[in-house]
Amino acid sequence: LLQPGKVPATSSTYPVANCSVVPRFSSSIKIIDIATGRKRKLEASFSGGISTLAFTPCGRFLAASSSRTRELLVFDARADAGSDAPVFVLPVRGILTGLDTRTSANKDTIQVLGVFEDAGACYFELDANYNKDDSTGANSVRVETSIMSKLPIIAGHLGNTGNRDASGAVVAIGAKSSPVFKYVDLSAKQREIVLHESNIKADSDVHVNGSANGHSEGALFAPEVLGPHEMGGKKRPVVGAEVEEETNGQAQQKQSKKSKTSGDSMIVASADKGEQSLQDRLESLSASLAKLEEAESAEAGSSSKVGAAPTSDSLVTLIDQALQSGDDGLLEQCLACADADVVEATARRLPTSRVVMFLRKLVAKFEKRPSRGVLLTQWLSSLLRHHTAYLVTVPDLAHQLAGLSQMLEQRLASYSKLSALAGRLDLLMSQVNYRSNSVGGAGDALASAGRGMQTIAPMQVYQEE
Amino acid sequence: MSSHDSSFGSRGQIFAQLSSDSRLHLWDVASKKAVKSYVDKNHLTHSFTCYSWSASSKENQGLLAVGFSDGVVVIWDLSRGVVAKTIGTAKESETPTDIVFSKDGKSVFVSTDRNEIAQYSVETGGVLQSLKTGKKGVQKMALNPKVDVLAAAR
Repeated sequence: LLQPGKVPATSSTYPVANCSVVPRFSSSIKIIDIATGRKRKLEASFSGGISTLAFTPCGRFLAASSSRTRELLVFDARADAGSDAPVFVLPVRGILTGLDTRTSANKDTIQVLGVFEDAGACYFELDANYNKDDSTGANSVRVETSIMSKLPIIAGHLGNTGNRDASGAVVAIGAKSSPVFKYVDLSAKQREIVLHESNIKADSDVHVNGSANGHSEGALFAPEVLGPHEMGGKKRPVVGAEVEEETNGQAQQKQSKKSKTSGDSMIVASADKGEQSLQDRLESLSASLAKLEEAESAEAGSSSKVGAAPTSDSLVTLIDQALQSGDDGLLEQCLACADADVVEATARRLPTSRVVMFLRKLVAKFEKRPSRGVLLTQWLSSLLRHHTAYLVTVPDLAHQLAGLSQMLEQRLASYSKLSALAGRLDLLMSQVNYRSNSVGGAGDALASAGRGMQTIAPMQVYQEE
Repeated sequence: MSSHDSSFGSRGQIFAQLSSDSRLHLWDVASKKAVKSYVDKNHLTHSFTCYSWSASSKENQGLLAVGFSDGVVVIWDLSRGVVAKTIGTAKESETPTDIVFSKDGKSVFVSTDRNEIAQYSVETGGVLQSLKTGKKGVQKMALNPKVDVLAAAR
């Protein structure tokens, strides 16, 4: 623990509140009163733009850092502070990109956690009751801890998850697409804490996605809820399998199952061959796809003779069952029916209690893969048409179908413009027809008049002699 | 806690990260799982410039405002998973540089490269007031949690 009044060996100097050096101002910090608009300018002694700015939770101090100078400034932000100069100037070893502050329970210590641009972080505990008149160069820095890490630290948060009062900090480490969250205990007040790569990896192996053997990339996969415009990481690997379901609309269950399993085995295979080059992977992928297509065409040939066309009776029952049990596979099978008459009849016969649920399922599927729009909009439109009377009576319909409305608006945004353009083009085309006809001769002009075109007589005709 | 493109929520339970293609990814810190990701419809044409969390509670995950380079501020309601409000119209000249939620979370302060900070109502999207700043605009803002005072810096 550093005693107040002593300068830590790692830090060069701590200029004090009544510092007489006037630095070059290229960044400026102002404190603006929201009610009155009155401004107070602080002396920000660094060059380059500001990179971080944060008040302490007690509202008394303001911490700031620049995008060029390796310093962290802490100002007294109170209106009656007396001085506009920083009360703490803390040299840091990098450019700060993130900042978090906290005030201790008895309000005599402020804690600052800064995250560096490249890697690592720093942590300070500062005495809130600093001595303004202390000119010996040491405003009380009680603790200075450097957090070292080979992997970049993306962000930090003082306190533990859901517990702001914990003595440590939670940091997000590693790649931005798959961060690993680690709790760093700062209570020991060490000078330096080193976050080892192996610890982080081991940690992530246990917890990411809740599976014991998940690797760190798994963090991106399988979001629990998919709302409007949300993207799930898991859908990409099974594209091949589902597209196939879509194209072979009325294919047998066996076939879709087979295609799914073969799709899955493809992914596993590619994951196992993590060491292969891209070319090898592509080759193996294309080979397996070719096999898949062969099998598919063979089965399609045999099944086309045997496959019985579904009727609306069976589909209504199946959809009802699928919705009741939440069986997505069964629902997919039902949706694969592309026969317009069957879709219409099914939508008409569907029990009203299932309509909203079915609509929501359809919207979710549409959002997941907009390329299936042709099939799904058929279902959506017939459902909406046949059950309008019921739907208007549902109390919180607007909330439940917000996604659908947003999706439709988004898709129809360009429709009016396109139809206007189509109108203009039609007009132009008819003009072109008319002109070509009128050039052709009077007989043609008469003919065009006969087709509903009006002949326009020129007001004057100049003829060269 | 704020960083250029990633930060923890006010209770440290959620971690948000804006990827370079302007997608918003949310992680549940306790379970270390990706919870949700949001994609704005203009995410490929306009990049994000700034974002801000509103205070959250246990039940309510709060709001997250994201400023885009076309001058629009999109406010996501994280509990409902929908866009709560879109503030401003697409004006390329007035790119938001920073966003700060008011203490009650009912309004946002948006700074631009121009010489003023505008306060918008989250509910209506209308301008409540505008504060004059220096000629060179504002890059970063911070709201004092105790007093109605805003720190603006460039």
